[in-house]
Amino acid sequence: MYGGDEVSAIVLDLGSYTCKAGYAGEDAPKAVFPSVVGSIYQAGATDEVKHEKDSDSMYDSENADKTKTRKLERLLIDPKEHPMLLAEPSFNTPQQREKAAELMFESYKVPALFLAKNAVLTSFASGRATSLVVDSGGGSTTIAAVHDGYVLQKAVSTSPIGGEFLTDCMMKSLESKGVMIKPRYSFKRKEIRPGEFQTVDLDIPNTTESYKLYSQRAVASDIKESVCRVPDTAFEESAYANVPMTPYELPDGQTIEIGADRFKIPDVLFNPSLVQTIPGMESFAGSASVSGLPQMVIESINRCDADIKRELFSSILLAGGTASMLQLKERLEKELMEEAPQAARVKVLASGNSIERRFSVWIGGSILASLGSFQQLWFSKAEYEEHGVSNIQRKCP
Amino acid sequence: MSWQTYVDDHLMCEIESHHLTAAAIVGQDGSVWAQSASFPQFKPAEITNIINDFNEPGTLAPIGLFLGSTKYMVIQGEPGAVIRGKKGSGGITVKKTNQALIFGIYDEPMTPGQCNMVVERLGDYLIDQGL
Repeated sequence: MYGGDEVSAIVLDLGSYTCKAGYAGEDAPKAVFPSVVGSIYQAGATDEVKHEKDSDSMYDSENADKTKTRKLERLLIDPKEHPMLLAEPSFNTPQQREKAAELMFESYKVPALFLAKNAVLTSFASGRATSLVVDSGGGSTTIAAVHDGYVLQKAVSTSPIGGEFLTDCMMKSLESKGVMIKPRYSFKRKEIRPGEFQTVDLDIPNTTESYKLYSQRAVASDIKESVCRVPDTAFEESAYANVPMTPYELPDGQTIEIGADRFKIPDVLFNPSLVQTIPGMESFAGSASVSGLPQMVIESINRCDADIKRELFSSILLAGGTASMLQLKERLEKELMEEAPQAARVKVLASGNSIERRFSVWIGGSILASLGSFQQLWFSKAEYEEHGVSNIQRKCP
Repeated sequence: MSWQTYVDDHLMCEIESHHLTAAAIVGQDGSVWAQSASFPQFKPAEITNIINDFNEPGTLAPIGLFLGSTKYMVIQGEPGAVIRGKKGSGGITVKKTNQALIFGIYDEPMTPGQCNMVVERLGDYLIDQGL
Protein backbone atom coordinates (compact mmCIF):
# COMPACT_ATOMS: atom_id res chain seq x y z
CA MET A 1 0.00 0.00 0.00
CA TYR A 2 1.35 3.41 -0.84
CA GLY A 3 0.13 6.26 1.26
CA GLY A 4 1.64 9.38 -0.16
CA ASP A 5 -0.64 12.32 0.15
CA GLU A 6 1.86 15.14 0.43
CA VAL A 7 3.45 14.41 -2.89
CA SER A 8 1.08 14.96 -5.75
CA ALA A 9 0.69 12.33 -8.39
CA ILE A 10 1.41 12.79 -12.07
CA VAL A 11 -1.39 12.04 -14.52
CA LEU A 12 -0.26 10.86 -17.95
CA ASP A 13 -2.55 10.40 -20.93
CA LEU A 14 -0.70 9.13 -24.00
CA GLY A 15 -3.16 9.56 -26.80
CA SER A 16 -2.72 8.68 -30.42
CA TYR A 17 -2.70 12.31 -31.47
CA THR A 18 -1.61 14.33 -28.45
CA CYS A 19 -0.05 13.48 -25.12
CA LYS A 20 -1.31 15.18 -22.03
CA ALA A 21 0.58 15.33 -18.75
CA GLY A 22 0.27 17.27 -15.56
CA TYR A 23 -0.20 17.15 -11.81
CA ALA A 24 -3.17 15.57 -10.14
CA GLY A 25 -5.51 18.06 -8.55
CA GLU A 26 -5.14 20.66 -11.29
CA ASP A 27 -7.89 21.38 -13.76
CA ALA A 28 -5.90 21.11 -16.98
CA PRO A 29 -2.75 19.30 -18.10
CA LYS A 30 0.43 21.38 -17.95
CA ALA A 31 2.09 19.73 -20.94
CA VAL A 32 0.18 18.99 -24.12
CA PHE A 33 2.13 18.07 -27.22
CA PRO A 34 1.69 15.97 -30.34
CA SER A 35 2.42 12.27 -30.12
CA VAL A 36 4.95 12.47 -32.85
CA VAL A 37 8.48 11.24 -32.77
CA GLY A 38 11.05 12.84 -34.97
CA SER A 39 14.11 10.73 -35.51
CA ILE A 40 17.21 12.00 -37.12
CA TYR A 41 19.34 9.49 -38.92
CA GLN A 42 22.98 10.29 -38.54
CA ALA A 43 23.99 9.13 -41.98
CA GLY A 44 21.67 11.21 -44.11
CA ALA A 45 20.89 13.95 -41.56
CA THR A 46 17.24 14.01 -42.52
CA ASP A 47 14.19 14.43 -40.33
CA GLU A 48 11.67 11.67 -40.24
CA VAL A 49 8.35 12.14 -38.58
CA LYS A 50 6.48 9.18 -37.24
CA HIS A 51 3.06 9.37 -35.71
CA GLU A 52 2.46 6.73 -33.12
CA LYS A 53 -1.03 5.87 -34.27
CA ASP A 54 -1.31 2.39 -33.00
CA SER A 55 -1.58 2.19 -29.25
CA ASP A 56 0.37 -1.04 -29.60
CA SER A 57 3.48 0.78 -30.57
CA MET A 58 2.77 3.42 -27.96
CA TYR A 59 3.92 1.03 -25.30
CA ASP A 60 6.14 -1.33 -27.20
CA SER A 61 8.62 0.61 -29.18
CA GLU A 62 11.42 2.76 -27.93
CA ASN A 63 9.47 5.66 -29.38
CA ALA A 64 7.05 5.36 -26.53
CA ASP A 65 10.00 5.64 -24.24
CA LYS A 66 11.15 8.81 -25.94
CA THR A 67 7.69 10.34 -25.79
CA LYS A 68 7.44 9.63 -22.10
CA THR A 69 10.92 10.94 -21.36
CA ARG A 70 10.19 14.09 -23.30
CA LYS A 71 7.01 14.62 -21.39
CA LEU A 72 8.59 14.06 -18.03
CA GLU A 73 11.37 16.46 -18.95
CA ARG A 74 8.87 19.10 -19.97
CA LEU A 75 7.20 18.85 -16.64
CA LEU A 76 10.61 19.17 -15.01
CA ILE A 77 9.99 16.39 -12.56
CA ASP A 78 11.89 13.42 -11.34
CA PRO A 79 9.74 10.31 -11.87
CA LYS A 80 11.23 8.69 -8.78
CA GLU A 81 9.37 11.09 -6.53
CA HIS A 82 5.86 11.01 -7.92
CA PRO A 83 3.30 8.23 -8.16
CA MET A 84 2.10 7.91 -11.73
CA LEU A 85 -1.44 7.50 -12.97
CA LEU A 86 -1.45 6.26 -16.55
CA ALA A 87 -4.54 6.45 -18.69
CA GLU A 88 -4.84 3.46 -20.98
CA PRO A 89 -7.17 2.62 -23.88
CA SER A 90 -10.23 0.68 -22.81
CA PHE A 91 -9.25 -2.19 -25.07
CA ASN A 92 -5.67 -2.52 -23.84
CA THR A 93 -4.45 -6.12 -23.74
CA PRO A 94 -2.90 -7.65 -20.62
CA GLN A 95 0.47 -7.85 -22.38
CA GLN A 96 0.48 -4.13 -23.08
CA ARG A 97 -0.44 -3.34 -19.49
CA GLU A 98 2.37 -5.48 -18.19
CA LYS A 99 4.79 -3.85 -20.59
CA ALA A 100 3.72 -0.41 -19.46
CA ALA A 101 4.09 -1.38 -15.80
CA GLU A 102 7.54 -2.84 -16.45
CA LEU A 103 8.61 0.30 -18.30
CA MET A 104 7.42 2.54 -15.51
CA PHE A 105 9.01 0.60 -12.69
CA GLU A 106 12.25 -0.44 -14.36
CA SER A 107 13.21 2.56 -16.45
CA TYR A 108 11.55 5.40 -14.60
CA LYS A 109 11.60 3.92 -11.11
CA VAL A 110 8.26 5.39 -10.11
CA PRO A 111 7.30 4.76 -6.51
CA ALA A 112 3.74 3.73 -7.36
CA LEU A 113 1.59 3.22 -10.43
CA PHE A 114 -2.03 2.85 -11.39
CA LEU A 115 -3.46 2.08 -14.81
CA ALA A 116 -6.91 3.50 -15.38
CA LYS A 117 -9.07 3.02 -18.44
CA ASN A 118 -9.84 6.10 -20.52
CA ALA A 119 -13.59 5.52 -20.42
CA VAL A 120 -13.63 5.34 -16.63
CA LEU A 121 -11.71 8.59 -16.30
CA THR A 122 -14.06 10.40 -18.69
CA SER A 123 -16.97 9.12 -16.68
CA PHE A 124 -15.48 10.50 -13.46
CA ALA A 125 -14.74 13.84 -15.10
CA SER A 126 -18.45 14.26 -15.72
CA GLY A 127 -19.37 13.15 -12.23
CA ARG A 128 -21.07 9.91 -13.20
CA ALA A 129 -20.24 6.36 -12.18
CA THR A 130 -22.30 4.79 -14.97
CA SER A 131 -22.33 5.99 -18.56
CA LEU A 132 -21.61 5.08 -22.14
CA VAL A 133 -18.46 6.89 -23.20
CA VAL A 134 -18.00 7.86 -26.85
CA ASP A 135 -14.37 8.92 -27.13
CA SER A 136 -13.64 10.36 -30.55
CA GLY A 137 -10.00 11.27 -30.61
CA GLY A 138 -7.27 11.73 -33.17
CA GLY A 139 -6.47 8.16 -34.05
CA SER A 140 -9.70 6.32 -33.49
CA THR A 141 -13.14 6.35 -31.94
CA THR A 142 -13.80 4.09 -28.97
CA ILE A 143 -17.14 3.34 -27.37
CA ALA A 144 -17.15 1.76 -23.92
CA ALA A 145 -19.80 1.17 -21.29
CA VAL A 146 -18.82 2.04 -17.73
CA HIS A 147 -20.83 0.79 -14.78
CA ASP A 148 -20.06 1.89 -11.24
CA GLY A 149 -16.59 2.94 -12.30
CA TYR A 150 -15.64 -0.23 -14.18
CA VAL A 151 -15.65 -0.96 -17.90
CA LEU A 152 -18.07 -3.75 -18.74
CA GLN A 153 -16.55 -6.70 -20.48
CA LYS A 154 -17.48 -7.12 -24.12
CA ALA A 155 -19.04 -3.68 -24.40
CA VAL A 156 -16.03 -1.97 -25.95
CA SER A 157 -15.91 -1.26 -29.68
CA THR A 158 -13.47 0.76 -31.76
CA SER A 159 -13.44 2.26 -35.19
CA PRO A 160 -10.37 3.59 -37.00
CA ILE A 161 -12.25 6.73 -38.01
CA GLY A 162 -10.92 9.57 -35.92
CA GLY A 163 -9.73 13.14 -36.31
CA GLU A 164 -6.65 12.18 -38.31
CA PHE A 165 -8.72 10.17 -40.74
CA LEU A 166 -11.06 13.10 -41.31
CA THR A 167 -8.06 15.37 -41.85
CA ASP A 168 -6.79 12.95 -44.49
CA CYS A 169 -10.18 13.07 -46.21
CA MET A 170 -10.02 16.85 -46.21
CA MET A 171 -6.53 16.85 -47.70
CA LYS A 172 -7.42 14.39 -50.44
CA SER A 173 -10.56 16.30 -51.25
CA LEU A 174 -8.69 19.58 -51.58
CA GLU A 175 -5.97 17.96 -53.67
CA SER A 176 -8.53 16.61 -56.07
CA LYS A 177 -9.90 20.11 -56.48
CA GLY A 178 -6.45 21.35 -57.38
CA VAL A 179 -5.66 23.21 -54.16
CA MET A 180 -2.00 23.05 -53.22
CA ILE A 181 -1.43 23.22 -49.50
CA LYS A 182 2.01 24.66 -48.95
CA PRO A 183 3.61 23.54 -45.71
CA ARG A 184 4.24 26.40 -43.34
CA TYR A 185 8.00 26.18 -43.48
CA SER A 186 8.20 26.36 -47.26
CA PHE A 187 7.49 30.03 -47.73
CA LYS A 188 8.02 33.44 -46.23
CA ARG A 189 5.74 36.43 -46.48
CA LYS A 190 7.38 39.74 -47.23
CA GLU A 191 5.63 43.05 -46.80
CA ILE A 192 6.23 44.95 -50.05
CA ARG A 193 3.76 47.72 -49.31
CA PRO A 194 1.95 48.48 -46.06
CA GLY A 195 -0.85 45.95 -45.78
CA GLU A 196 0.18 43.99 -48.86
CA PHE A 197 2.16 40.82 -48.65
CA GLN A 198 4.08 38.85 -51.20
CA THR A 199 4.77 35.20 -50.75
CA VAL A 200 8.33 34.10 -51.35
CA ASP A 201 8.94 30.39 -51.71
CA LEU A 202 11.79 29.02 -49.67
CA ASP A 203 13.73 26.01 -50.67
CA ILE A 204 14.73 24.00 -47.66
CA PRO A 205 16.68 20.92 -48.62
CA ASN A 206 16.82 17.84 -46.46
CA THR A 207 13.19 17.81 -45.45
CA THR A 208 11.63 14.43 -45.88
CA GLU A 209 8.28 13.47 -47.27
CA SER A 210 6.96 12.60 -43.87
CA TYR A 211 7.73 16.03 -42.42
CA LYS A 212 6.14 17.73 -45.40
CA LEU A 213 3.05 15.60 -44.99
CA TYR A 214 2.96 16.37 -41.29
CA SER A 215 3.05 20.11 -41.94
CA GLN A 216 0.37 19.87 -44.62
CA ARG A 217 -1.78 17.87 -42.26
CA ALA A 218 -1.46 20.60 -39.66
CA VAL A 219 -2.95 23.08 -42.14
CA ALA A 220 -5.69 20.71 -43.27
CA SER A 221 -6.49 20.03 -39.64
CA ASP A 222 -7.00 23.68 -39.00
CA ILE A 223 -9.30 23.95 -42.03
CA LYS A 224 -11.30 21.02 -40.76
CA GLU A 225 -11.63 22.47 -37.29
CA SER A 226 -12.72 25.92 -38.47
CA VAL A 227 -15.19 25.22 -41.24
CA CYS A 228 -16.58 21.73 -40.81
CA ARG A 229 -20.02 21.10 -39.35
CA VAL A 230 -21.94 17.88 -38.94
CA PRO A 231 -25.02 18.01 -41.21
CA ASP A 232 -28.43 17.70 -39.58
CA THR A 233 -29.40 14.72 -41.73
CA ALA A 234 -27.45 12.20 -43.74
CA PHE A 235 -25.32 13.80 -46.42
CA GLU A 236 -26.50 13.61 -50.02
CA GLU A 237 -24.51 15.01 -52.94
CA SER A 238 -27.55 16.49 -54.64
CA ALA A 239 -28.88 18.25 -51.57
CA TYR A 240 -25.62 20.02 -50.85
CA ALA A 241 -24.54 20.76 -54.40
CA ASN A 242 -25.66 24.37 -54.18
CA VAL A 243 -24.69 25.13 -50.61
CA PRO A 244 -22.97 28.54 -50.22
CA MET A 245 -19.18 28.29 -50.09
CA THR A 246 -17.20 29.38 -47.06
CA PRO A 247 -13.90 31.15 -47.66
CA TYR A 248 -10.76 30.12 -45.81
CA GLU A 249 -7.41 31.83 -46.00
CA LEU A 250 -4.41 29.53 -46.19
CA PRO A 251 -1.19 30.58 -44.41
CA ASP A 252 0.42 31.55 -47.72
CA GLY A 253 -2.33 34.06 -48.51
CA GLN A 254 -4.34 31.92 -50.93
CA THR A 255 -8.07 31.96 -50.25
CA ILE A 256 -9.99 28.80 -50.93
CA GLU A 257 -13.70 28.17 -51.00
CA ILE A 258 -15.13 25.13 -49.31
CA GLY A 259 -18.67 24.09 -50.09
CA ALA A 260 -20.19 20.66 -49.78
CA ASP A 261 -17.05 19.25 -48.16
CA ARG A 262 -17.87 21.20 -45.01
CA PHE A 263 -20.68 18.76 -44.39
CA LYS A 264 -19.46 15.70 -46.23
CA ILE A 265 -16.28 15.15 -44.24
CA PRO A 266 -17.87 15.09 -40.75
CA ASP A 267 -20.65 12.87 -42.08
CA VAL A 268 -18.04 10.15 -42.59
CA LEU A 269 -18.31 9.58 -38.85
CA PHE A 270 -21.94 8.60 -39.30
CA ASN A 271 -21.66 6.97 -42.68
CA PRO A 272 -18.21 5.51 -43.34
CA SER A 273 -19.10 4.36 -46.83
CA LEU A 274 -19.15 8.04 -47.85
CA VAL A 275 -15.38 7.83 -47.89
CA GLN A 276 -15.60 5.97 -51.18
CA THR A 277 -16.88 9.10 -52.87
CA ILE A 278 -13.86 11.16 -51.91
CA PRO A 279 -11.29 10.92 -54.70
CA GLY A 280 -8.05 9.45 -53.46
CA MET A 281 -9.63 7.66 -50.51
CA GLU A 282 -11.22 4.75 -52.33
CA SER A 283 -8.45 2.50 -51.14
CA PHE A 284 -9.74 2.62 -47.57
CA ALA A 285 -10.45 -1.06 -47.37
CA GLY A 286 -12.02 -1.14 -43.96
CA SER A 287 -15.07 0.94 -44.81
CA ALA A 288 -17.14 -2.15 -45.54
CA SER A 289 -16.83 -3.46 -42.01
CA VAL A 290 -16.76 -0.19 -40.14
CA SER A 291 -20.11 1.02 -38.83
CA GLY A 292 -21.19 4.56 -38.26
CA LEU A 293 -21.25 6.13 -34.82
CA PRO A 294 -24.95 5.55 -33.98
CA GLN A 295 -24.73 1.87 -34.98
CA MET A 296 -21.66 1.37 -32.83
CA VAL A 297 -23.40 2.95 -29.84
CA ILE A 298 -26.46 0.71 -30.22
CA GLU A 299 -24.28 -2.39 -30.66
CA SER A 300 -22.31 -1.57 -27.55
CA ILE A 301 -25.40 -1.03 -25.41
CA ASN A 302 -26.99 -4.22 -26.69
CA ARG A 303 -24.01 -6.21 -25.51
CA CYS A 304 -24.55 -5.00 -21.97
CA ASP A 305 -26.69 -6.36 -19.23
CA ALA A 306 -30.37 -5.71 -19.79
CA ASP A 307 -30.75 -3.98 -16.43
CA ILE A 308 -28.50 -1.07 -17.20
CA LYS A 309 -29.39 -0.49 -20.85
CA ARG A 310 -31.85 2.22 -19.99
CA GLU A 311 -29.39 4.02 -17.78
CA LEU A 312 -26.74 3.85 -20.48
CA PHE A 313 -29.06 5.35 -23.09
CA SER A 314 -29.74 8.32 -20.89
CA SER A 315 -26.10 9.03 -20.09
CA ILE A 316 -24.06 8.98 -23.26
CA LEU A 317 -20.90 11.07 -22.82
CA LEU A 318 -18.95 12.65 -25.64
CA ALA A 319 -15.22 13.06 -25.24
CA GLY A 320 -12.17 13.70 -27.37
CA GLY A 321 -11.06 16.34 -29.82
CA THR A 322 -13.24 15.22 -32.70
CA ALA A 323 -16.28 15.32 -30.44
CA SER A 324 -15.98 19.11 -30.41
CA MET A 325 -17.18 19.23 -34.00
CA LEU A 326 -20.17 21.52 -34.35
CA GLN A 327 -23.59 19.90 -34.21
CA LEU A 328 -22.19 16.42 -33.47
CA LYS A 329 -24.11 16.12 -30.22
CA GLU A 330 -27.43 17.11 -31.76
CA ARG A 331 -27.04 14.82 -34.75
CA LEU A 332 -26.03 11.83 -32.64
CA GLU A 333 -28.98 12.35 -30.31
CA LYS A 334 -31.35 12.52 -33.25
CA GLU A 335 -29.99 9.39 -34.92
CA LEU A 336 -30.05 7.44 -31.67
CA MET A 337 -33.62 8.38 -30.88
CA GLU A 338 -34.65 6.90 -34.21
CA GLU A 339 -32.75 3.67 -33.75
CA ALA A 340 -33.15 3.07 -30.04
CA PRO A 341 -36.00 0.97 -28.62
CA GLN A 342 -39.16 2.96 -28.06
CA ALA A 343 -39.16 3.08 -24.29
CA ALA A 344 -35.61 4.35 -23.95
CA ARG A 345 -34.95 8.00 -23.27
CA VAL A 346 -31.83 9.06 -25.14
CA LYS A 347 -29.62 11.80 -23.76
CA VAL A 348 -26.21 12.71 -25.14
CA LEU A 349 -24.12 14.81 -22.79
CA ALA A 350 -21.11 16.83 -23.67
CA SER A 351 -19.33 19.43 -21.69
CA GLY A 352 -19.95 22.84 -23.21
CA ASN A 353 -16.31 23.82 -22.95
CA SER A 354 -14.28 22.29 -25.78
CA ILE A 355 -11.12 22.25 -23.63
CA GLU A 356 -12.93 19.99 -21.21
CA ARG A 357 -14.03 17.66 -24.02
CA ARG A 358 -10.51 17.30 -25.36
CA PHE A 359 -8.95 16.69 -21.99
CA SER A 360 -11.77 14.87 -20.23
CA VAL A 361 -9.67 11.73 -19.81
CA TRP A 362 -6.85 13.71 -18.23
CA ILE A 363 -9.23 15.68 -16.01
CA GLY A 364 -10.84 12.46 -14.82
CA GLY A 365 -7.38 11.18 -13.94
CA SER A 366 -6.64 14.36 -12.04
CA ILE A 367 -9.84 13.95 -10.03
CA LEU A 368 -9.24 10.25 -9.36
CA ALA A 369 -5.65 10.65 -8.22
CA SER A 370 -6.55 13.35 -5.74
CA LEU A 371 -9.34 11.40 -4.03
CA GLY A 372 -8.56 10.28 -0.51
CA SER A 373 -10.15 6.91 -1.11
CA PHE A 374 -7.91 6.30 -4.09
CA GLN A 375 -4.66 6.35 -2.14
CA GLN A 376 -5.00 2.72 -1.09
CA LEU A 377 -5.37 1.55 -4.70
CA TRP A 378 -1.85 2.40 -5.84
CA PHE A 379 0.30 -0.48 -7.06
CA SER A 380 3.55 0.27 -5.25
CA LYS A 381 7.11 -0.53 -6.22
CA ALA A 382 7.42 -2.82 -3.22
CA GLU A 383 4.47 -4.88 -4.43
CA TYR A 384 5.89 -4.98 -7.92
CA GLU A 385 9.20 -6.30 -6.64
CA GLU A 386 7.59 -8.79 -4.31
CA HIS A 387 4.90 -10.22 -6.55
CA GLY A 388 5.94 -9.43 -10.07
CA VAL A 389 4.35 -7.57 -12.90
CA SER A 390 1.30 -9.83 -13.36
CA ASN A 391 -0.17 -8.37 -10.21
CA ILE A 392 -0.99 -5.26 -12.19
CA GLN A 393 -3.94 -7.15 -13.69
CA ARG A 394 -5.32 -7.77 -10.23
CA LYS A 395 -4.75 -4.42 -8.65
CA CYS A 396 -6.00 -2.39 -11.58
CA PRO A 397 -9.10 -4.18 -12.84
CA MET B 1 -4.42 -29.18 5.44
CA SER B 2 -8.14 -29.39 5.15
CA TRP B 3 -10.10 -27.33 2.66
CA GLN B 4 -11.86 -25.52 5.45
CA THR B 5 -8.51 -24.27 6.74
CA TYR B 6 -7.74 -22.90 3.28
CA VAL B 7 -10.95 -20.90 3.40
CA ASP B 8 -10.62 -19.74 6.99
CA ASP B 9 -6.93 -18.87 7.04
CA HIS B 10 -6.08 -17.99 3.47
CA LEU B 11 -9.23 -16.55 1.97
CA MET B 12 -10.87 -15.00 5.00
CA CYS B 13 -7.54 -13.64 6.21
CA GLU B 14 -6.91 -10.01 6.98
CA ILE B 15 -5.31 -8.04 4.18
CA GLU B 16 -4.40 -4.44 5.03
CA SER B 17 -6.92 -4.56 7.88
CA HIS B 18 -9.83 -5.65 5.67
CA HIS B 19 -11.21 -9.06 4.89
CA LEU B 20 -13.64 -10.69 2.46
CA THR B 21 -17.26 -10.96 3.50
CA ALA B 22 -17.49 -14.50 2.21
CA ALA B 23 -15.39 -17.10 0.40
CA ALA B 24 -15.63 -20.67 -0.80
CA ILE B 25 -13.83 -23.38 -2.72
CA VAL B 26 -16.26 -25.25 -4.95
CA GLY B 27 -15.52 -28.17 -7.22
CA GLN B 28 -16.23 -27.74 -10.89
CA ASP B 29 -19.04 -30.24 -10.55
CA GLY B 30 -20.87 -28.00 -8.11
CA SER B 31 -19.88 -29.76 -4.87
CA VAL B 32 -18.75 -27.51 -2.06
CA TRP B 33 -15.27 -28.37 -0.79
CA ALA B 34 -15.34 -25.68 1.90
CA GLN B 35 -17.11 -22.40 2.49
CA SER B 36 -17.17 -19.57 4.96
CA ALA B 37 -20.10 -19.01 7.29
CA SER B 38 -21.87 -16.31 5.30
CA PHE B 39 -21.35 -17.73 1.82
CA PRO B 40 -24.70 -17.62 -0.02
CA GLN B 41 -26.63 -20.69 -1.11
CA PHE B 42 -26.27 -21.13 -4.83
CA LYS B 43 -27.87 -23.25 -7.53
CA PRO B 44 -26.03 -25.85 -9.63
CA ALA B 45 -27.13 -24.05 -12.79
CA GLU B 46 -25.17 -20.98 -11.70
CA ILE B 47 -21.98 -23.01 -11.44
CA THR B 48 -22.62 -24.46 -14.90
CA ASN B 49 -23.00 -20.93 -16.29
CA ILE B 50 -19.74 -19.89 -14.70
CA ILE B 51 -17.90 -22.92 -16.14
CA ASN B 52 -19.41 -22.14 -19.55
CA ASP B 53 -18.08 -18.61 -19.35
CA PHE B 54 -14.59 -19.88 -18.52
CA ASN B 55 -14.74 -22.14 -21.57
CA GLU B 56 -16.24 -19.50 -23.82
CA PRO B 57 -15.52 -16.06 -22.40
CA GLY B 58 -18.24 -13.51 -22.98
CA THR B 59 -21.35 -15.62 -22.43
CA LEU B 60 -22.07 -14.19 -18.99
CA ALA B 61 -21.58 -10.53 -19.82
CA PRO B 62 -25.02 -9.82 -21.35
CA ILE B 63 -26.90 -11.84 -18.74
CA GLY B 64 -24.92 -11.13 -15.61
CA LEU B 65 -23.27 -13.34 -13.03
CA PHE B 66 -25.77 -14.87 -10.62
CA LEU B 67 -24.82 -16.42 -7.32
CA GLY B 68 -27.59 -17.25 -4.91
CA SER B 69 -29.99 -14.36 -5.07
CA THR B 70 -27.42 -11.75 -6.07
CA LYS B 71 -26.70 -10.52 -9.55
CA TYR B 72 -23.25 -9.16 -10.40
CA MET B 73 -22.29 -7.11 -13.48
CA VAL B 74 -19.41 -8.76 -15.31
CA ILE B 75 -16.42 -6.44 -15.66
CA GLN B 76 -13.02 -7.06 -17.23
CA GLY B 77 -11.57 -10.37 -16.09
CA GLU B 78 -8.98 -12.73 -17.55
CA PRO B 79 -10.51 -14.99 -20.20
CA GLY B 80 -10.44 -18.61 -19.10
CA ALA B 81 -8.89 -17.86 -15.70
CA VAL B 82 -10.68 -15.17 -13.73
CA ILE B 83 -14.19 -13.72 -13.76
CA ARG B 84 -14.72 -10.46 -11.91
CA GLY B 85 -18.13 -9.09 -11.08
CA LYS B 86 -19.33 -5.91 -9.48
CA LYS B 87 -22.38 -5.06 -7.46
CA GLY B 88 -22.67 -1.58 -6.07
CA SER B 89 -19.68 -0.96 -3.85
CA GLY B 90 -18.79 -4.63 -3.59
CA GLY B 91 -18.30 -7.52 -5.93
CA ILE B 92 -17.01 -11.00 -6.52
CA THR B 93 -13.90 -12.65 -7.95
CA VAL B 94 -13.98 -16.22 -9.28
CA LYS B 95 -10.69 -17.97 -10.04
CA LYS B 96 -10.58 -21.24 -11.91
CA THR B 97 -8.02 -23.85 -10.92
CA ASN B 98 -7.58 -27.29 -12.46
CA GLN B 99 -10.39 -28.94 -10.52
CA ALA B 100 -12.10 -26.20 -8.54
CA LEU B 101 -13.46 -22.68 -8.49
CA ILE B 102 -12.41 -20.24 -5.80
CA PHE B 103 -14.96 -17.59 -4.86
CA GLY B 104 -14.26 -14.39 -2.99
CA ILE B 105 -17.03 -11.91 -2.19
CA TYR B 106 -16.07 -8.48 -0.92
CA ASP B 107 -17.78 -5.28 0.11
CA GLU B 108 -16.73 -1.82 1.24
CA PRO B 109 -14.15 -0.88 2.49
CA MET B 110 -12.24 -3.66 0.80
CA THR B 111 -11.16 -2.82 -2.76
CA PRO B 112 -11.55 -5.02 -5.84
CA GLY B 113 -7.77 -5.10 -6.17
CA GLN B 114 -7.38 -6.57 -2.68
CA CYS B 115 -10.02 -9.23 -3.29
CA ASN B 116 -8.37 -10.15 -6.57
CA MET B 117 -5.01 -10.52 -4.85
CA VAL B 118 -6.33 -12.88 -2.17
CA VAL B 119 -8.40 -15.10 -4.44
CA GLU B 120 -6.02 -15.27 -7.36
CA ARG B 121 -2.94 -15.87 -5.22
CA LEU B 122 -4.55 -18.89 -3.59
CA GLY B 123 -5.70 -20.05 -7.02
CA ASP B 124 -2.19 -19.86 -8.43
CA TYR B 125 -0.88 -21.83 -5.47
CA LEU B 126 -3.46 -24.57 -5.93
CA ILE B 127 -2.76 -24.75 -9.65
CA ASP B 128 0.92 -25.25 -8.82
CA GLN B 129 -0.06 -28.07 -6.49
CA GLY B 130 -2.03 -29.69 -9.29
CA LEU B 131 -5.46 -28.93 -7.85
